[in-house]
Amino acid sequence: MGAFTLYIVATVTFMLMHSVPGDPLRQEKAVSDVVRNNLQVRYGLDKPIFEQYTMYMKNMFIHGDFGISFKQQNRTVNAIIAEHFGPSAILGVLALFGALIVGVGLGIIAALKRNGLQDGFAMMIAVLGVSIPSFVLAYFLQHIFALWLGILPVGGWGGIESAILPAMSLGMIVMASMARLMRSSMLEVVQQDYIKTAKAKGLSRFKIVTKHQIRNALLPVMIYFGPLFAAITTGSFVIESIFGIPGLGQFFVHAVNELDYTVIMGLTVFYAGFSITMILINDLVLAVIDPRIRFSSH
Amino acid sequence: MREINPPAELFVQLPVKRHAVEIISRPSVSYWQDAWQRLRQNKVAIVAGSYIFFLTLAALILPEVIHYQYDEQEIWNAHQTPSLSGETAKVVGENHLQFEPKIIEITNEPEGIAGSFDPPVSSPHNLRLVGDPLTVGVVVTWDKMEGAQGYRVHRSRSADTLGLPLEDVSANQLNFFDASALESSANYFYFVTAFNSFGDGPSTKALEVRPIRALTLQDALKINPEAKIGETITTNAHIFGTDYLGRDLLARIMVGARISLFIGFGAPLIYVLVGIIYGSISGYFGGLIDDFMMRITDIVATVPELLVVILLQVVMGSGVVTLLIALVAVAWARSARQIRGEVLRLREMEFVQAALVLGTPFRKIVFRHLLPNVMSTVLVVLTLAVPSAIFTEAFLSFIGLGISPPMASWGTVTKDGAQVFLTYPHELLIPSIMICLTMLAFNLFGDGLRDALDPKLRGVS
Repeated sequence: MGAFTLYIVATVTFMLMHSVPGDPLRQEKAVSDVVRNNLQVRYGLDKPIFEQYTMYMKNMFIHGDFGISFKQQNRTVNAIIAEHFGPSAILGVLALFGALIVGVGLGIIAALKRNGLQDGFAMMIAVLGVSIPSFVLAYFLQHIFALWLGILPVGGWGGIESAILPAMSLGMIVMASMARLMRSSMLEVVQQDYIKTAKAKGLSRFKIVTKHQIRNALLPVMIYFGPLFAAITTGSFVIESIFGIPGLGQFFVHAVNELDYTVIMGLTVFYAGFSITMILINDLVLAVIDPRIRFSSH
Repeated sequence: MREINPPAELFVQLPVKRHAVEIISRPSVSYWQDAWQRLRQNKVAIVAGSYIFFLTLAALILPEVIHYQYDEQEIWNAHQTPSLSGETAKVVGENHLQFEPKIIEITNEPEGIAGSFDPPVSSPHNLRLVGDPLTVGVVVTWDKMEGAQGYRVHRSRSADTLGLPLEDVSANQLNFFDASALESSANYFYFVTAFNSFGDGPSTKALEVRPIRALTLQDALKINPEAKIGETITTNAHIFGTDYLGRDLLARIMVGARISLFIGFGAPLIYVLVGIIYGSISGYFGGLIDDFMMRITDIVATVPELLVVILLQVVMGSGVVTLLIALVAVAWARSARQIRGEVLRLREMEFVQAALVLGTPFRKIVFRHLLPNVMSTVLVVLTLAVPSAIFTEAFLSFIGLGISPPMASWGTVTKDGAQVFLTYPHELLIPSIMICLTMLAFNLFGDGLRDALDPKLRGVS
């Protein structure tokens, strides 16, 4: 099923891309017709569109070859992905797990101290978190921590400290929504019968909260985890460009602007494949965690 | 104890009102009335709602009544900080840059001070301004000093340091024209030292200068049609300051608010509508149809947003409508899934089953039973979709894929501001605060609405 979705995505992207007027060979400097023809032959753009399509699909799905970039001379799309996915992935993992830990923590505290001071504070952070766009946050973090306090680098890539600010900017909104989700999920779980049973059994409050409440409350939060992981890891172009991180996002935006066919196709299929895989893994993990899912599917 | 024997005729049997037991003593409260009452009690939601209301009003009215157009440039007035009042400006003619050096005859040459091999021991006297100091030029003059081979003019932003030397003038010139572009709201300090071949003498006392804004007649006529050369006029106030082209930020932000709110309200409205139709069909019929329709939403959700936006821009030209359609094209799938889930849940509920058993036609089940019950979910999805649409618009404009200049949107204004954040922080701060406040208001209002519409929370404080 996943492979089929991927195939359809690739086909749709191919059609959309080729329906945009112009081609990757247009340049600021005018080239002579001979040069242009030679280039077209080299990249296979002289062939009919259907032949291009079948050729490309064959290369991609059978050989796993995404082709050569039109704009970056002699660089294969596979090489671009291999080289630049790393920073995006590291950033995504950092942002997401940071957001998960802080967000879930805030949500638990807020739910346990419902309507208390901690609750108000945690929810204030959460609602602010979903209200500040990541690019605005990025600028402010950059100026506060890098320029005024001087404790973290302004940008660039290398070392864990250069990933902190971008990860914070990326993860803030996720953190905030997870905190809200976790809080409401905790409050729902606390009304369930099994919590009453646990209380009646005379379990300690600590045990009830950790073994019964939190474990069950985590499930709805986990549902969002896979899609979020894919969305964040495939790179936020703005954050990467504000902090000067050599991630994949910039390639995609430039490629789309320059109509670099192979790069667009390669990255789209890669993104889609990654996102489908992540959702699949998430579903599998959920089934392992939550016995109800396993039983209901039978 | 006294015995009471009331006569039997005092007792009258009341007529039995059979219907009285059925009468409901308090007015019945419908679902929506109840929701409205609970929403009204939520102070935060009401404040957020009022903010949204007034912002909408301001976005509609302000750009019409404000003195500036959003794309009106005052290049001379770039990066103006926010202020509530205008400044005084002097209208200057074309020839304001013409400057006559004050040349004097030097009779006894500096070599006359024989035997001295030291720099001048005193500073030139009487450093003063000539005419009004203007932002396009300041003329200073000083008295002749014996023994000077030349004078060096310095300008600084502080009274304590000399700053960089501007120029050396020869001994027979006793004035200097500083033709650099100066800022009107700043203080400058001029110093002059005399020098000879052995070095510099001490400097004069600082001459403090606050340049007056100079306007060409052409610029001045735009502000005041009766302006004449040599007169002073008052410029208009920029409450939020101006951007790098001297465009009024208030006007730009309010025009941007129009776009943001148009997209913020418009896109969710359309895609939630599409979502309702698509989601209810998919959820109601289930089975193969559901599978097929959901597979389509999967695919739509995986096609990159950027690609769709750019493609549409190429096909339709860049603009608000393109952005709106692009947002709808990308986001309808998500809302369709949410609504399908809700319909799927409702379909299994007893009242729908009962309606089915009673032979209620399909159309009636959908419109009488399913949709009204989906409505609260839809409303919440809608309010929370508004901030995300505003965010997406700002994001796309920020990376240069949204509104094209000179049109303003919050994304483009923020982007322009971000480039000069260090020197002119207000240009980033004001639009960012507007975006954050608006998103905050929509989120808080959406939360309040969700709490008010959720019957499960009835009676819970």
